[in-house]
Amino acid sequence: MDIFNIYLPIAEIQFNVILLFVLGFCVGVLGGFFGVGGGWIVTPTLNIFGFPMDFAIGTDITYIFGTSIVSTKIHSGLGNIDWKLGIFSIVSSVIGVEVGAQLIMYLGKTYGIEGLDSIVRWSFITLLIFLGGFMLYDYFVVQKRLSEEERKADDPMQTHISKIQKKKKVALPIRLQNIRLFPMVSFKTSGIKSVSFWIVFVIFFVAGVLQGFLGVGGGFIKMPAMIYLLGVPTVIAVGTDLFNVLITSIYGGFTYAIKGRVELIAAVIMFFGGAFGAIFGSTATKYVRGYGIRLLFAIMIIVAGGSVVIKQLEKPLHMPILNDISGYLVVGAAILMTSIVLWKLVVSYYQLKKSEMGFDPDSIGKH
Amino acid sequence: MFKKLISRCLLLLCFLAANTGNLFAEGKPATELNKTVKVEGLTGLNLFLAQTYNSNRLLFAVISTGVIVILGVIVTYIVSLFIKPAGHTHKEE
Repeated sequence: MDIFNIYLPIAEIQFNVILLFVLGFCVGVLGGFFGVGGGWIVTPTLNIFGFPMDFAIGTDITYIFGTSIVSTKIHSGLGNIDWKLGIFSIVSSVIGVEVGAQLIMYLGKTYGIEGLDSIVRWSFITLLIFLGGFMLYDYFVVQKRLSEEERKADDPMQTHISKIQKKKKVALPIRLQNIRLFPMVSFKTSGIKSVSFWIVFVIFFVAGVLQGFLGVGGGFIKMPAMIYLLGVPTVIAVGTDLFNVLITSIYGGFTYAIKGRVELIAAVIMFFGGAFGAIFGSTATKYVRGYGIRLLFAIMIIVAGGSVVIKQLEKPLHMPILNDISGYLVVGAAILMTSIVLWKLVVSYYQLKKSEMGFDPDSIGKH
Repeated sequence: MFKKLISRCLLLLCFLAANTGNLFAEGKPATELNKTVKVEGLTGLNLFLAQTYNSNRLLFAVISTGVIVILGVIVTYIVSLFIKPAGHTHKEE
């Protein structure tokens, strides 16, 4: 495999071109599909395979910026971006990021670097596992409800009872939208007729605080926040989040480059893989239903949380190999998830083509 | 046109917000930032990048960001030629 190695002049290391391209491709697919940057996959992988950590972060953010241009364009073409909500999310979260960064400074002074590291890592683990667990729970609750509704469809009495039961429970986005706190705003693309500006601001501000506090891109926080707190349809949340990632990563890439921590050649190679992957990932959102996206996303972030737990155990157990295992776990999960997304895309595409050729009107919209 | 204008304004806002943050940041001394890379034995693009990196970090940042933007725009243009916008799908859940 040495013939595929190239010299990267800024990081001053030899690196495998195929690995860069494949990594870029996988993260491009997942980024376009889930609406996240994917830094939590790229950074540990580059680091495991020999990139110094600071170069891994800088190169990763530059590459993410490039692929998010492509993903945003595709989602824009599919009508998946709520531009107004995107702008709200960027402005509110930028303020939140600054507060999160200041909180880090304060905790660093109070508890020292090691204490801070531990606080951040465990907060990250808690957040990932909570988010993943909640999304998984929500998925199975909805699936159960759908199957029960199907079963009761023939029994009008049962249907009537379930309707009454459903009325008692008002969804969180609706409850939040019912809070009349001036000024009210609307987001047509997301189907939100009226919501308080302050509700939207607080949601993205808190997401921004977490983003600044945990030092992550924030896509995996904002995407579920849009779905579960604002009631934004999944594909719109994915597209809008990518627009957010695009704007914020432009600055990230530039500032890391000024600090000399971007390996441009590696970023360009990964970009080509990522752009190619983003085409598939973004297009797959057209064929896979919202709840399917949420299920895969939930599994992916639980695996990511698990990998951070393994990494956290490295020091107390004095087992350096756990660091590598945690990285390989994330890479393995990313490759597996990419394969599932591509498989779903191919299957759905052929089912659609088949139904179009068969002229079966009932099949429209069932793919 | 409006979307472009908004995007540019947001970019500017991000720059301003993040630079304000730098005033409060307590980062490590700039010695690490002055890292230089070896240029001996390098040729072509590698030599150009290494020399720019060593001599002018701002230019290096502009080149890095610019290259990715240009590539992003080119790929996006090519993609838009091959993939037709398919309209709204599956917005309801």
